[in-house]
Amino acid sequence: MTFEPTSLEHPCLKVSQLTVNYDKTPVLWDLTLTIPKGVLVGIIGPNGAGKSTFLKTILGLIKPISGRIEILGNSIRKNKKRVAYVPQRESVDWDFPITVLDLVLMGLYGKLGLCCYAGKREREQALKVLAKVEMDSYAHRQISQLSGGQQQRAFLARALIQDADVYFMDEPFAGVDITTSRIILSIFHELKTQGKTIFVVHHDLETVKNTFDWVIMLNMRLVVCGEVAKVFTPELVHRTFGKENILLDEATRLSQETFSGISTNSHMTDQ
Amino acid sequence: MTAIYHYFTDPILRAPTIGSMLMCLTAALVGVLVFLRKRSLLGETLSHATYPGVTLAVVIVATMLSEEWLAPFILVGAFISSLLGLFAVDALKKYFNVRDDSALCFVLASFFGIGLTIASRVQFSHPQEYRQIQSYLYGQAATMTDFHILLYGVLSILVIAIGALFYKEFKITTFDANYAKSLGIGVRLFDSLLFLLIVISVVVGIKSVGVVLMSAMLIAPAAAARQFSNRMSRILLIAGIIGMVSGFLGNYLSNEFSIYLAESNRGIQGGIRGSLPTGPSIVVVSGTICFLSLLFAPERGLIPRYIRIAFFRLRRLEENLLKTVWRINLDGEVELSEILSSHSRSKTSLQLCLWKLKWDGLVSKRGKKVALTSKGRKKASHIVRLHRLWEVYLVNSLGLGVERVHRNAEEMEHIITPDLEKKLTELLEDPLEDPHKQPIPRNGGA
Repeated sequence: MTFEPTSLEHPCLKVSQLTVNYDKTPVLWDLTLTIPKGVLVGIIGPNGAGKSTFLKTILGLIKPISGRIEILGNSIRKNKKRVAYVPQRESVDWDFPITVLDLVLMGLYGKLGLCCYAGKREREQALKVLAKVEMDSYAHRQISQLSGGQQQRAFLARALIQDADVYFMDEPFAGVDITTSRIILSIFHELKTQGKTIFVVHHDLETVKNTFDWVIMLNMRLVVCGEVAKVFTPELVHRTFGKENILLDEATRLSQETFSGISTNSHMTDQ
Repeated sequence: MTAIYHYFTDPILRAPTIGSMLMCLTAALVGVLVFLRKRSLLGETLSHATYPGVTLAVVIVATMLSEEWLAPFILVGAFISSLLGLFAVDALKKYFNVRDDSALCFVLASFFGIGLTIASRVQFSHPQEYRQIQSYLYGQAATMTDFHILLYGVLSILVIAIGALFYKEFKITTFDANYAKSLGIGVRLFDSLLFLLIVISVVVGIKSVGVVLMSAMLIAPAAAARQFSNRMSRILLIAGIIGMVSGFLGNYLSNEFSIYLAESNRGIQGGIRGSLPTGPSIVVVSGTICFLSLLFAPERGLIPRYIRIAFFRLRRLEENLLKTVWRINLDGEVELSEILSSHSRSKTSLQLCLWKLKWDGLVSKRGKKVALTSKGRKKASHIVRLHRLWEVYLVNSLGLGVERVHRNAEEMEHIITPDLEKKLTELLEDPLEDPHKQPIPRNGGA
């Protein structure tokens, strides 16, 4: 089953024949997809499907082995100032000695340039975005004092202060409280009305239908990419998460071992 | 005794003192970054990796060049050798799939081994140079000259300037490298720059503290400073100060102790001879500061934490005693023995606690009878109120079984803040009874 992407004149994201390897083993295989501007896109798939890798590759954090990526009609290198990234919460050390305000101000480091420091204007800006995620009263707290949901909101504020056109968020709903997910959803809504595009790695299948406009279903290869109403069907969900993929996993693991010289692949036949 | 200002003016003392302080300052500032990146072992490895460079430099100068080339040659030799160590660590990780900690240990041991081998090779052929090489193991601040002050001064200023210029970049690449990359910040560039700073500070440090002890000067001030602040800028400041103080005190102690030994042994044949070497003294001072910080820092220190725990326990016991009196006889007098038998604590600690309650005006004591004052009644009923409110919350809002909530409430009654009490009261709409059908005392009265 294939779905032609709706004809798009100026897409937000255009990926063609993207393959990403760790060492010699593919983790993303020949992805081709197009996403229009101004939509909320869910990226779903089972653990190890390459969702985070996909995000990092688009952001230029991981170099693909082949393929082309265009964001807003240009390469990511030229468009860094137009994208904002919200990494997974667990990816940093929350005992790091900075305040919430410092954390949010980091969002401006790219624009400030070398040797320039955040001043009063930047601080006010940071307080404003913190108020948006209902965290302004925590501005001067040390980040280790935050709860999981508050950490996530601080991360979100750091991306919001970048005032980007495209947002990439890695599992923003993972392990957060109800208040936080309400705030995240209202931020999504606000960003969308401003015509911004948001990519969200997501793992809760229940909420996909009500949250997202578009969906990218991944399991190392692209299962489907399209509008939620059209492509988020039980059959395709099953194909994304189903048992058929186990063979692929097995083959990938074998390939990994072979290329790193751990397994003696040529004698596998007598097993 | 030598007056303190002599350490900065005396032509013999000032070089080692100022030199050590500059070196310790540099190491402490770079060390904060290394410490926050949790790469403390890196400093240890890179300092040991300088040793082959140092030995080769000494041998080359001894065989081919004149004496005045020694200091710059050692600096360059140590620098190159340490850098090679860094590349070796990277290569091991990248091409041999060796894990970070194993790679660091391997490079540390093998480079140091190479250095020792070269050193032992020249032990008999060039005995004088061998002594030179040996002095770099534990450092020899005393042989520093004004030239060293100049050299280290320039290098320190360089390190501090680079650190200050790119403070923001070092901060973000340390905290969240991927995010920094997504902003277009050259993470690789700043990582390399940081490694360069570590190598420079190590190379500067081995003259006074030595190859073996150098990494302590990177980590000890940083670890100590972390105890006192949650702001990176302040941690840098405190670490820098601790570094300089260690540098000074190390020299001071070493010199004063040597003078003391010389004086006390004057004219005595076979008296104790010896001196306190400067490098180890510096390390011992900074190590002591670090240890004391771990113990006594107001917020994070071990002792203040224990003291706070002890105070909480005392308050809990006091509150429990009040409750006991309240339960046995709210308005009248209660036999002391009855109170004592209802608690499993030792008699003395309970007596002490009662005495404290009396001191605070919460109970009055007549002979062997105890009664609550009106202030005490208020306080006791408030504790009971918190206990029962919490029970209502656990049962009504969280759906816990009635028989299982008492134990938890026994703890929480001492912990709930006025703010939380207010929220609970609102949420539960100021209930009148707890789940066991006991009345909940009103706020502000018995």
